[in-house]
Amino acid sequence: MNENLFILLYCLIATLSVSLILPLEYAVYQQSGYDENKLISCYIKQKTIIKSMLLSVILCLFNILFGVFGILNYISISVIAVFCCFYVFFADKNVKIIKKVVITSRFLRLTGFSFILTFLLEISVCYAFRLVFDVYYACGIGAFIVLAYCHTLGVSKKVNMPFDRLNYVLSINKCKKKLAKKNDLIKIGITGSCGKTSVKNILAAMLSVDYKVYATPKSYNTPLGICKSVSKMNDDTEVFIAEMGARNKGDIKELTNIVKPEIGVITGITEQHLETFGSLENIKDTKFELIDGLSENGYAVFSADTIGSTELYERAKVNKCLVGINGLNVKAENIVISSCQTSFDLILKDVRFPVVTKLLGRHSVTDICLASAVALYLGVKPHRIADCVFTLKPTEHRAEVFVTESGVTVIDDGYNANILGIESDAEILKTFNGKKFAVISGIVEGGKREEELNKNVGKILSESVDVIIAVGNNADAVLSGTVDIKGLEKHYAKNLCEAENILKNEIKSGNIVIFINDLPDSYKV
Amino acid sequence: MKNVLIFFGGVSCEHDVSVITGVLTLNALKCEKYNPIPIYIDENGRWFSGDALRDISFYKNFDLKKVKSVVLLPKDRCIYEKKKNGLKKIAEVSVALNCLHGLNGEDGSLAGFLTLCDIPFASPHIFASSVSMDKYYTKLLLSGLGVNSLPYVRVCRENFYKNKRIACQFVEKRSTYPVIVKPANLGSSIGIKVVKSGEELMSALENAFKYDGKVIVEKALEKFREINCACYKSGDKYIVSECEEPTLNGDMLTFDDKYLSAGTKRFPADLDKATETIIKDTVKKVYRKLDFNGVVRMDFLLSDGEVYLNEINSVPGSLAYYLFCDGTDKISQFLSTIIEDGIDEYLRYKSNEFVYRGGVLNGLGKLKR
Repeated sequence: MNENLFILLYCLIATLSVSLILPLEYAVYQQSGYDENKLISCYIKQKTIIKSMLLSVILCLFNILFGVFGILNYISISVIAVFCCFYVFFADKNVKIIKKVVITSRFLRLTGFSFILTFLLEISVCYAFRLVFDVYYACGIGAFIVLAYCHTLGVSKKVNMPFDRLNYVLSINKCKKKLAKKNDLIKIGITGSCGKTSVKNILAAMLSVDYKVYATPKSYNTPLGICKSVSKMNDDTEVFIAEMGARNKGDIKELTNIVKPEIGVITGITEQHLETFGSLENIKDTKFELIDGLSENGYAVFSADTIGSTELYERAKVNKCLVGINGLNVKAENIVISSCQTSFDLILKDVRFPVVTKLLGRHSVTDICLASAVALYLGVKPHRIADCVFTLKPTEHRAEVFVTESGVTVIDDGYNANILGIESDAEILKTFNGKKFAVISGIVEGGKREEELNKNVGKILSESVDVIIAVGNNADAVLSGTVDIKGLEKHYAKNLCEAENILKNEIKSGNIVIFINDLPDSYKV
Repeated sequence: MKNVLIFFGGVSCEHDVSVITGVLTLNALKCEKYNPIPIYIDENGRWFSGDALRDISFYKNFDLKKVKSVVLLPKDRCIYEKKKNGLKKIAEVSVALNCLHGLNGEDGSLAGFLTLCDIPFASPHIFASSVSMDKYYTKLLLSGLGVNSLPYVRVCRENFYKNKRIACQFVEKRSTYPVIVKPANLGSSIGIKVVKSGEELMSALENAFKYDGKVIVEKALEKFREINCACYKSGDKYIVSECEEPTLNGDMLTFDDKYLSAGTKRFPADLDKATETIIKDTVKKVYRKLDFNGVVRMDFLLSDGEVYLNEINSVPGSLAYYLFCDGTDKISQFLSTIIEDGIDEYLRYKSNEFVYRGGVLNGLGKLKR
């Protein structure tokens, strides 16, 4: 076998196997907005670094072994290939990923580039050492280059930067053009700390009876996410609903510049993403960018159920309304929360509609009020809005209730990373009968106040559950916040797997489990 | 703007009548709020759409090149054009309106299809449609509701062909001549015969069994008046029309716009207050109890001071607009009420829980293992 071919194949196999043992790292990399620091900290904390070290050491030993016996042929390269396949398979098997990587063109570009970079680096190292050593030893040393793979991902991002920037500008322009072309399109922006996706889904359901509605799918709430969804929008769409997410000041301004909404909805405002925002004041300012960005005859809807959003209502100078449980224009009364439904009187234009919904919890009532106010403004008949409330279905991972085959009731409130949501969950839990378990990983990105917030979470929960299983980094804070109530059990779990094991041992038919903050992978570490 | 599918034509004896109802509705509905989309079902059951279908003269020399072949898909709410290499989306559908008369349309089949497609529709639902299509089931239901209808005997095909003579004796024992022999499922006059004596009965039954496996033999009234009355719903209000008395057997004529002014019917019918109240109350009661939607016309027979409910039309000719609107310009308002009510009804239906995650299949997997 030709020596050059051997080196080529060998380097290809080595690079390929290292790129395949990092699924979790890829997920974290993508979810953190391609932040290489998060990637590398995950790489080290999750001990994937050991896996890749092991890989390189074994590859190195293989080569030395081949060198000693002097086998340089298809057999040796096949042995390495087969070994790598097994290695990748077993290394992959125990990794649990909550939110898998979405294969986007940008992701392929970044990983593809770093793949080529690592590959070239490895080949050059092999050839460099080939000058001095035998081919096996050279390849053996080259094996250690795989350790640099994660770092090349960072380099790859920098190299791709101009391209990404250009791509960004182009797609935003394209999106703006498409939106501007349809001058009778009604554009609605929704932002706030919590309930954005729920309000979006409820509103889409209410409006789709009378309009052709297109809403940004899933939680696509970044500039590129919105552009991508606009490109898929049908030409006959009459209402476009954009969910707007923010982590930093100016984020919403950027989004309103793209969408130019005429109706703005501010859901509750709480201390979420405090780490990146710095202060609650900054969060409020950022959310207010949506109201500033509304067109002249715009309409703004504010939640009356958090202090933050009520303050923004006072601040707004456009045509506005304050809605929610404590609302002025649209409000809810006689709220009865039970374990399978929420019933209340929805008051629209001073007419009272008794409604029942499958959405659970007090925060759902606020969400419904917000959506109703917009639907009312757009001319949907009040009785139809009320009818629509009955048909609403819970959004995935947002207070979704189901019973498993073993008779355990599961409440999946996986994406509920804020104190309001947890308060609402606690209220739902009180309506259930049976032993109650809560699996919680606390509030993240809370900045300086993270510990205080999480202590508060512990306090709220200890009053409504029997067993608390705190998971991950914030577990200590959550557990230390719990109040000593007779019969309250507290557990600590390092990760979700461990929490599941605790559950398996203790849970029986008729019990209730609530999962709160089943967070993306980047926060598991 | 809502895209409204208008279904008409159909594989039935009443295909032509349905085309007239459909084209009329298409043109009456066109306004700012609605964009009516024709779905014409030809006599072979093929579905077509296209602007050419809005013109009534087009059907005289039907040209396949001017129309598009279309389909609907389950749980999808969009209409697609069938092309050689697949489907092309035409439009998103907001609501549908049934103008198909007779079998394969009025009998609940379209209602069922639209339910599976998840499309709201402003016409009666599956059960109400299929019951009112079948004369036997209609009678069963009416007697359950305590509504007066003519006495009848039901004969089914198997029994009849086993022993025709016994079958005839059976009928004669339970009814007095003259009688009317009707196939249970057909709406129009096809297969229907008035029998005055025993000699004609067998041939009349044989003829009727060509059309359906189930035949109704009903007492024939000698002197009677025919009264029609229709009803529709708007929210929780039931709107019952005035009574109409067609003086000619003019079901066909009612589709003609000229009919409105020609005066070959009496509208409102000349009735005493008590009879009128009975008719109107009956219409409202039957409509309510059968959970009807859209416009429904009920045909009554008056004889010797008795009021009999003879037939329920879940898709009446011209959607019975002439009983509610005194001018063609008011039809669009009338149709709009029906359509919006259909959408509300759909929302109410959707609020039902359809799926229960009981984990039965998961359990099965375990047993196997």
